[in-house]
Amino acid sequence: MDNRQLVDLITKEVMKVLRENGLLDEPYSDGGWSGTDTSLLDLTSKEYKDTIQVTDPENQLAINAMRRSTTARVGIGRAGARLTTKAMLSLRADHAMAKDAVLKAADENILREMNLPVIQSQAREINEHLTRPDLGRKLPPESVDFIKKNCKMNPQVQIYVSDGLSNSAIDENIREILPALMDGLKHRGIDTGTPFFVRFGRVPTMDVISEITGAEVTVVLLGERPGLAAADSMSAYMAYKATVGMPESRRTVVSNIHKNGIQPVEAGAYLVEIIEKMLQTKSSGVDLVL
Amino acid sequence: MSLGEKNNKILSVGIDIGTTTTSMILSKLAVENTAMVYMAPNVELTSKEIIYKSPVYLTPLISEERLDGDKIREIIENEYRSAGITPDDVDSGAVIITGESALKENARLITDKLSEFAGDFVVATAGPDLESIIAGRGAGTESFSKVYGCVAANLDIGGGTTNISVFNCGDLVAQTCIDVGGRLIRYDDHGEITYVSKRFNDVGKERNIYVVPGMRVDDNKMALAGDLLSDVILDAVHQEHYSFTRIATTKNSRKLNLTYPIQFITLSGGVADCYYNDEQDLYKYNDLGVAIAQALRKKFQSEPYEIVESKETIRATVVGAGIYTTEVSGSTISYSEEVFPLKNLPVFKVGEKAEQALYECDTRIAREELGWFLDQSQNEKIGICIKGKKKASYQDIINLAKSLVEIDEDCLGWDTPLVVLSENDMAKALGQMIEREIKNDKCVLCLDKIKMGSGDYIDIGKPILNGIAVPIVIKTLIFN
Repeated sequence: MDNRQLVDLITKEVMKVLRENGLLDEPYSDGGWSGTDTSLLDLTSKEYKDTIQVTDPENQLAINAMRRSTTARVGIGRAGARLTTKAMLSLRADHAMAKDAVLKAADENILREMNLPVIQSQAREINEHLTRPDLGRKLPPESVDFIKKNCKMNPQVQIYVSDGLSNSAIDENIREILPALMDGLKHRGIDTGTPFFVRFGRVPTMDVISEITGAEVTVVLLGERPGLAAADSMSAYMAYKATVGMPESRRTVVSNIHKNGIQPVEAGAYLVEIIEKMLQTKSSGVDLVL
Repeated sequence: MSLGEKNNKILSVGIDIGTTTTSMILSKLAVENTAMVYMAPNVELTSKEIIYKSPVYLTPLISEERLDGDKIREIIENEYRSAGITPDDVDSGAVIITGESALKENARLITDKLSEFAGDFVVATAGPDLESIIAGRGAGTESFSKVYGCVAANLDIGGGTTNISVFNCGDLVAQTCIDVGGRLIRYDDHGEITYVSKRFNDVGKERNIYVVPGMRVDDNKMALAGDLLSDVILDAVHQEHYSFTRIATTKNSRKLNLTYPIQFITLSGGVADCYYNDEQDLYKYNDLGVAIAQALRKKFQSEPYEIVESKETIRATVVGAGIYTTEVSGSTISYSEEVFPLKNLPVFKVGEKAEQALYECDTRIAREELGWFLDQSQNEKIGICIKGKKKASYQDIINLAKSLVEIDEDCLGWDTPLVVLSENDMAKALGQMIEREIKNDKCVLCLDKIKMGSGDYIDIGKPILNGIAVPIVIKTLIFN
């Protein structure tokens, strides 16, 4: 059962009880209250945010221009010294989205669809993942064995996906970016390894994976810590012959991959160019001149 | 991830052949990747510096109907010499022919020839709307409106035309052109009228004013003429248009139609100098320029607009042509450098419905439209312009690429480059996919963040910054 169905079900139950107790005058109609109602705006949508405005502004045009130039909450008015109710609700809703992105699990249907087997870091559950970054950087023996048994060894490029701190980033972007990246490399005659998904992974997990697979270039598509502007932002961290304990400066990163940042398909195509360059120059991070 | 200093400067020339005056400027445009190291490249023009300004020459004419091409070329050759450059040094720029000069019989021939001489990548461009925009940028109105978050209009009052452009917070929102300028009437030092433009009497008729050569000017007549022409200009600026605007609006231009009021006005063109300097000598230039400026000064006092000083007056158009016509676009190119520059590519804009169908691999409507377009343009090389999707899926890109390749095979010759221009950011993905789908080894060029209209033309220069971008000039060519 997905969220939508759950909400519908709960709504239905509550309405039923209200009606039974005579607390509801209107006859219950599903269309009016369930999530399918289009007259109520999603608090996190642009349409809703557009309704949050300064009352009686001196220069509305200038406010519009400023708001267009940033995702920050500017030109939203105030109630005394505080936020207006609308602005407050929108902030809380975005915060909830951010928390959700961290705490929920990546959609297994999508992982299956993308043919990504799931392995896990040494972190055993979500709270350990959040509080013990050191464990997220390591793989337990069973995960190491899985890679050794099921993945192609010594590929030119090893690509894998990891939740990091945003599972929404995986759900929203992976279907577009992964095939664009894999097909793009294949077309340029670059040999890629077997992709998989690492649950509770951190950026340096890629160093371990690089050592196991012996790949020349290792790429992780990772969910970024959500902010109040975007909960589904993904980054691609890449390194040439990554090793455990190497300096961070050897990583190349492309960030802000999401629907309002770099489009995932476009990012995939850009990564193809960078990876090709890494293989040519045998370098990454600050050594790589793009 | 530094891009190095290599080839990140563009030397751009602007040449303006106006009704009355001709001038040239040279500018250095710096191109940089302004994206943070962890972002996809974003190539922008980061600084625009004028390094040379020519004096303002009177536009040489052979007769009232013909420009003197040899003299114009001589002026430009001399200016190149005194600036210490050769045509080979010039990377980009625009020759723009404006006002009544664009109506001369040999206007097209002369701009084409001049752009060939002026540099490898200098384009001939004209059209009343484009002039308005260029003047508004050159006058600094665009940046004023951006900085102060307001609606500002620029009136570029030249010899034969007045170009009006309106910017809202830095965005161009409207432009128009009217056939009113300081040189609609000219007279000699004794006050005897030697030339009257037909356009003067067209609007004069509304007030029963009729002027023929041979009549004499005096203070009273000058005031009447200034009053008349400034009313025509104000009529075009106002939100309610009267018959003046209908009569005076330049062919191929449309009157202003804004839903909000203009707040600030800047002035440029020759008449602007008379305005800002409060020129008192009515007869100084043997035309109506000073009279128009004086009348405007008086009338603006009771208008709701605030007049602000422009950055450039008489040189606004040439500065605009030199600095603001060149843009850069991030690109995906599988090319051989020899094909650049691509000049005067007519742009085929795929219709909305046709583009929707492309995502379903249905190219029928697009091929039909392109067939008509090719019949009309008689140009083998064309650019295909699409809107693209803001949020394209991988499948969208595959289908779009397949469709474009199919269109290419069906409609374009095997040796013509496939040039795809997209409004939304998708050039890399689309370009790579086209490369994959295309069966021959023709040159493929894919550019994004480009907004063009139907009937526009594009010039594409040699790749810069290690091939991650190309300079482009979008233009509208309208010669009568």
